[in-house]
Amino acid sequence: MADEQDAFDVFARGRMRELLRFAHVLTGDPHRAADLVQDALERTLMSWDRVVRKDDPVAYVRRAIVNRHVSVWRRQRRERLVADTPDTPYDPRTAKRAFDGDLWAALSTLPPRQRAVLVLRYYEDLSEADTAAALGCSVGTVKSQTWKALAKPRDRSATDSEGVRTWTRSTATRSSATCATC
Amino acid sequence: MDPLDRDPLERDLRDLLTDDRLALTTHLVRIDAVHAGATRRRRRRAAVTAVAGAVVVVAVAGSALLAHQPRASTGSGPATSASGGTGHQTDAARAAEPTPTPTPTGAAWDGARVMSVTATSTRTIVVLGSTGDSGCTGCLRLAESHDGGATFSSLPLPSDRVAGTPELGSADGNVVSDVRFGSADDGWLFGGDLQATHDGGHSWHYVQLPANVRALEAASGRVWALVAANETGGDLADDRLWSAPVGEDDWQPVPGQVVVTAPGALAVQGNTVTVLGADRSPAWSNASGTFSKGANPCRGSLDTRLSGSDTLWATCVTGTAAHLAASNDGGRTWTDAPADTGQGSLPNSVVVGARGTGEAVLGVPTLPLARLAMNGSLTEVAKPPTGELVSYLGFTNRNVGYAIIDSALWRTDDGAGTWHRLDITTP
Repeated sequence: MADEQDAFDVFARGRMRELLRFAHVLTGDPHRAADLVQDALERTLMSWDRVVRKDDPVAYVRRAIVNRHVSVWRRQRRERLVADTPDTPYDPRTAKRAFDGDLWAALSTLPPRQRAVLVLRYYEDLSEADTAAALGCSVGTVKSQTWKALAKPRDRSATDSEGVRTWTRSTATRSSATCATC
Repeated sequence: MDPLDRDPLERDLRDLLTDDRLALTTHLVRIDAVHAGATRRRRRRAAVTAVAGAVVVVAVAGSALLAHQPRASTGSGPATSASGGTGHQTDAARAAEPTPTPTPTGAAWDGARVMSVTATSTRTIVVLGSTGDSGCTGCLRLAESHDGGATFSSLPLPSDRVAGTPELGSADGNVVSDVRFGSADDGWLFGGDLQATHDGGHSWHYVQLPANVRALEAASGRVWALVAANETGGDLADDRLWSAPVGEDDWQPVPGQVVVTAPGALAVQGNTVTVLGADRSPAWSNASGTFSKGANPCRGSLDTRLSGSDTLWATCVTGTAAHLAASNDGGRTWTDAPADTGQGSLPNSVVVGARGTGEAVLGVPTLPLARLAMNGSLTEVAKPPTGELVSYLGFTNRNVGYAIIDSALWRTDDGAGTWHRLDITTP
């Protein structure tokens, strides 16, 4: 028992940074991210012997985070305040690129399942099949959810009067990336 | 090329989601709290199971009584069962009581005097303080805030550390006078020997270096320290520059014998490191790529201090007086900044906080805080918030800064125009 707990502690400490970051990009809110990670780790600890025997612990925690996030949102389904854009301490290594607050804000308007699809695909770099497995849905659903999720910031940017950047794509290009049958 | 990479939105999305600024400090979730939460869940699950079992027992027993007893006597049977059921519920409810969340492992702030403050962002600060006089044991306190100083929580400290500043040339290894953090997780306590944390200050460990650490600063993934190089009987001690990656304890002396006469001063801005020494030592800077010697604006001084932003400010203490110099090229060249407060030469207690390019904020006892330009001109910005002794001025950006005045911590959000005192209280 003590060995199992030690193993869990080593796992949790070693993966804490990436789990928190994953939850942060998923929720857009550092405090909800911390709550989600704690909740998921508690559930993982309760099933730790099974998780380490049969599963990839990180994938298990990630699934727990996503499922909890989606289910809580469904239960509460109400307007939430958008968290501030991240605090940005000066760092010469990253200072060249400004934080994309517009896109961050656009992500915050997505339903959690669509946002989860984007995070799993573009942050975790999971394949469509792995994303489908993580979300417990079909590959077709992942493709359609990805298309819908990307359509919102794309439309928002396309109507931008500044015209500095546009995310509008030609129909042909869009189809090649997201068409469910390609 | 991956077809996804052809879409600018998808490229921007990848860039956004992998932006380093979205990383969170790991101590937002504590492992002991996870264990406590899991224990609560197990108890709750056991309680629910017990209650469900009791309900089943009551139902079965009630059904049996109803089936086997005369209708008139049904009152006593269910009452007994109900009592048993109530007993189960009480036990279950007791079992389901939440386990108290472990209290913070650090001692409560308890009105401690602020000794040192470090900021890793405009909102995150860590403060070191002491509840007793210099030299007291068990009186050090450490607190952190993630909301710009609105609320604080305590952090643990190595138990055998002593508050204070070691005398020059002494070997007071367990004395602690300063704290710095180079990231949300990686920090150092120093003054005597060096203590490091890599979990946001929740645990500290000793890092072996040859002698006391006089100054320490971190930026751009590296931490730099001035370590006493000769404190065993010489008339004048030397400070030598050491360095390590921020997340590791792999300390090495910087190649090239970067040594100055103690007490040295250290400033780090991005990848540029500047070291000044007292007496006749040269200045060192790596602004040209490698460390090289240059003219020391504090040549002949007894003490030196540095405050760095885009412009570096050197305070050169010559006795009871001090003079200032500024550099816009990482310490390769310096110009005098003859600040005139109207009261003669600056006192040795003058404090300078660099603020952006070509500007600093000046603190002189009894005088209002003033903005200081490279040519030495002063613009009064704020009355001393309270008391007189400004012991620290530092800015996270042009607007947000912190001051330690009469051992209390103050914050400005408008570039020193106004200040408000931070109330440090921890459970």
